[in-house]
Amino acid sequence: MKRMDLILVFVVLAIAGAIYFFYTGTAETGAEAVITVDGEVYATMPLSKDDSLRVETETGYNIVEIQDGYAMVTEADCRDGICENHRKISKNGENIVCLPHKMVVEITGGEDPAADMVVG
Amino acid sequence: MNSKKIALCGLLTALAILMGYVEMLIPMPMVVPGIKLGLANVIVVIAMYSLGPKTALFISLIRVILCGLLFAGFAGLLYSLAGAVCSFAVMALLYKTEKMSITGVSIAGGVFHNVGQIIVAALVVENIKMAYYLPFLLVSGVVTGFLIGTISRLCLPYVRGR
Repeated sequence: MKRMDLILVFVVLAIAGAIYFFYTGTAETGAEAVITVDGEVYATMPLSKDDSLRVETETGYNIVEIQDGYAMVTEADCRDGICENHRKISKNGENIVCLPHKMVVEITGGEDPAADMVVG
Repeated sequence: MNSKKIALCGLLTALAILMGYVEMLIPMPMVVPGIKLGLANVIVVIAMYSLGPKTALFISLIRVILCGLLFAGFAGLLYSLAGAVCSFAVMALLYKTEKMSITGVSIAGGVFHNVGQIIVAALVVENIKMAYYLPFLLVSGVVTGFLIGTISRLCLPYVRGR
């Protein structure tokens, strides 16, 4: 290991830490789970009410469930199942992404739509 | 290009593809999606240090395309390609400057592999908030990059020795 190696490791870890604290530090418990498919809003579910929704996409389905103020994906027919294994989310900006279906579940505050940046 | 080099290229390419397969057999903790060991990068790093960056680039590209077609399908191919190109560009650059050891180069490669993939993922789902995963992927890139770099460092003398 040379000195530059250590500098590189330090810089990368510092950036990772900074982004992490930026997200968790500013995140408050959100009010809504916004479900988008291929960049378009598919449905909005309030976190205050237990509910479940079957999201139909061109490539398959995901079942999104709201329970005790948390949102999670309980079932999906995609090949990797990453969204099913994802931990449940409740904080602003947290999200569950299903890449094969281009589906995103994202928590928002509900009252501040300007904070939601969608690239498209 | 002499026949010895051609043989070595073929061998390394085959190994790189095999590594992609072996990696699928190793279960990884699913804390955050996308964390992978990146075993194939061992071959790319070794190729870069023994045969030069240009050859390593071809080995990497052939691996990604063949692996993608064999195991992952088109969508997977896109992510692998983005990761491989991004990581290779950074590694080749650092290799040329000679300021870093093989471990450092490999760490940078691991980190930028993940950065490249997350950029494509963000484009696919059209959601910049994918950056939420970035800290976890950066840290995992450092850890796997260190492992890969260490393996490469230990293997390299044997490849060079013949």
